[in-house]
Amino acid sequence: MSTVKTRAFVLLGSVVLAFVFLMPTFFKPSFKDIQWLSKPLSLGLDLSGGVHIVYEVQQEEAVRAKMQATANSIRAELRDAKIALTAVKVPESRKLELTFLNDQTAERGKAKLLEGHKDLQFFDKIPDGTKAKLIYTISDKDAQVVATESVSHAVETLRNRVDQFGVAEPLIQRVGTNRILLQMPGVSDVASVKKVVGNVAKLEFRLIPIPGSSEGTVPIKDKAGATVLVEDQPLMTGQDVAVARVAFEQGVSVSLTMTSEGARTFRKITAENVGRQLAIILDNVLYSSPNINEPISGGQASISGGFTVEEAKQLAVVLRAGALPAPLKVMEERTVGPSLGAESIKKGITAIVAGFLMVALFMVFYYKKSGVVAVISLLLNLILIIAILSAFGATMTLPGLAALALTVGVAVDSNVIIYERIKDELYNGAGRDAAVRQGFDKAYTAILDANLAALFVGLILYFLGTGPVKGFAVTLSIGVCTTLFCAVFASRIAFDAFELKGKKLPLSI
Amino acid sequence: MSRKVTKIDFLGVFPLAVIFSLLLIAGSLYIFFAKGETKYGVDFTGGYEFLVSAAENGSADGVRAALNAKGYENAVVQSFEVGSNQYLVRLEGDQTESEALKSKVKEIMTSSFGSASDILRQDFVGPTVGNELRTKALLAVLVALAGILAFISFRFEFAFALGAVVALFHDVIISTGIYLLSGQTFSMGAVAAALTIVGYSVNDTIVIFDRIREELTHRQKFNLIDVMNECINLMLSRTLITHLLTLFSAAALYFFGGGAISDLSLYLLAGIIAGSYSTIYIACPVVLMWHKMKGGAIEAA
Repeated sequence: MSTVKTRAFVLLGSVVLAFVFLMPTFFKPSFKDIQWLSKPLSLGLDLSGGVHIVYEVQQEEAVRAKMQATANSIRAELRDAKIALTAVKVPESRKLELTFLNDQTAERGKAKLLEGHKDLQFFDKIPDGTKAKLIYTISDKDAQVVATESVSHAVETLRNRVDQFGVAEPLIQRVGTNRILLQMPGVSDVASVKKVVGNVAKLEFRLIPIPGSSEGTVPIKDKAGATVLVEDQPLMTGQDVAVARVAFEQGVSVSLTMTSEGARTFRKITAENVGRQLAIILDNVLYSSPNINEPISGGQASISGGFTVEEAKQLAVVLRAGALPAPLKVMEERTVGPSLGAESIKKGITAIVAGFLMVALFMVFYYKKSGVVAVISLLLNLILIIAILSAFGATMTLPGLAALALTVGVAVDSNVIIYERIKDELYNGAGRDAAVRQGFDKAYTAILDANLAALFVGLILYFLGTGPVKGFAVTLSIGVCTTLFCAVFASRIAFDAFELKGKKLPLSI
Repeated sequence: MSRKVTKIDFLGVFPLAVIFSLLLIAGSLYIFFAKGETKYGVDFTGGYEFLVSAAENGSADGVRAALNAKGYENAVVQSFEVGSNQYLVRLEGDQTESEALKSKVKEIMTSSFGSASDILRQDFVGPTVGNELRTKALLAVLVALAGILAFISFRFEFAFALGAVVALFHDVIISTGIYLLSGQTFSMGAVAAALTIVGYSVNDTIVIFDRIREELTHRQKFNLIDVMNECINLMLSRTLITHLLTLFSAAALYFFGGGAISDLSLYLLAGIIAGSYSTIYIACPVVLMWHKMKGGAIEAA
């Protein structure tokens, strides 16, 4: 009756939809317009080759950096308020230590800080000879905020840096509370990736101290490994840099253009310190220390220090994208060479096709025309699975192929159960129509329960699993649904359709 | 159309079968524990793993010797794919040595085995991550098993669920034993293969149980073992055909799959065979023995 036509229509509709979703995978160039509807099936790294790195954000370091920044601004404030601060230290990531000239100065300092710095908690006052020390800590709540923000900030910075790398479809994802997953398909040069992506890239401008000055100093190493003293107060940082570019004057260098704020600060600093050396420090390594001959108003500076072109490019990328709020530690790193990825795909496809052919041959040979229906339903099953994976933007991985193998096995089993049941009914004397109906009906509970169990497992694994297990679970869950659709719904249409034409075209079984 | 239904007494020999299975399980557990930490790949132990290719004169021993000579005393080397020139090399180290280690390994390969030698794949897993992967994989599998137990109890009854899960354990343990015996190590991919085996085993068991459930609804008085035998015989053609076809597919994976897939397909083959066997000789006996112990009627769910 008309239900066959309706059902056939539904089936046809799904097939067409499936092909729409599949087109980007198989006909990449010509379907740019349909991009908004569906994307090509993305391949996991084990199939496409590429780099996979899991970083852990060192959150305590971000807290320490915040304390350091707070220390710097307190120093400036107290100097402006003419309160005699002799030393500022951040001895631990959550502690701030201020040394004052004497006890009264310390009390004035304490009062001043109470006004401005609500995030600091007063901890203790310790005498230090004639001087006095005030110790402050950052509240746990505020520290937690810094820690959490550092991860989102790191993700953003990584994204900026990776964008500049020009990788097709990189994946940058926060994992858990403090980890970041970075996947770059098709990239084989892990070393460059790690340099550009993983370095903190903290840029600072400090003055080289004049001998005998009272400013605090800190020793750092330069590129040759020698130790140099610089003032411990940074005057400008990478935040004041708007643009960084590779330049080829006097060898390879990186030219910096400041923001308008930064340019103003730069002018002020250079005006006040003509004759001194300005140290340019990157990640606590001194790169160069040019003399300030005159005030600089254009907001331009350049870093040169024996770079190769590659190094200069990487540095420019990193400075443009901004510094990381904290160092990243590599927890996991995997690289699959592109040739291995391509080989895996080829072999995987060969194996699946070979297995499928054997199954198809058997089905047609044993079940004759009904076998043909089963083979078509299997093909449809595979097509639907891949189409749905593409539609959801899921990734096909090597374990996903294993799940595919399992799904095909279960799908074949479903067909066999139905057909054997139909044969049983025929043997027991039922007429053709009745046998088909009984066969499908009685087989239904078995197929339903078996597939539901698999779906249940698939969903549990999806929510609990990571990486390969998740890839397996996605394909399995989708496969179960398509199997139910194809084995029960789709095959039945074929049988019913063939019964209900005017002439009898029974399907042999 | 005539169809002869067989009347083979499958379950008659189940005590023998159970003993046979117990022996296999014991053997597999022994292998599992005897191998200690070496059974885990780098995914679970942490460290470096390289897949290298030797252009000429390669052999697992040769690669190991070359690495030992350059100071890598604890290198673990094994052949990756039968007949290929690819080898899996496992080395200890932490994250800071990554680039240095890679160039050294490449240098050793090209200097000893021809300039076309190469590193095809490299993995580094930090120690914390290794442990986490282990715990997470185990947790996921255990919860999945609990899920199966719950689902089958709900759709059938507890005795059947128990039978299915025991059969599951049997299949995974024995196929894992065979997998480890062939010299392979556990990686996340192996976990995926184990899950595939779980899937097949459950599928097979549920299909037979469904028939038993159906037959039981038609009878007032019955002898459970007779009903089970009858169902197995009734479904014999389906059972043989499906298992033949899945074996075809697994064999195709084994012969054509290449490297990673090939090793795991051995695992799958063992699992599929175990799965077919366990449905009849583990799952059903468990249900039988449970009912003997508890007495009482089976709810025809």
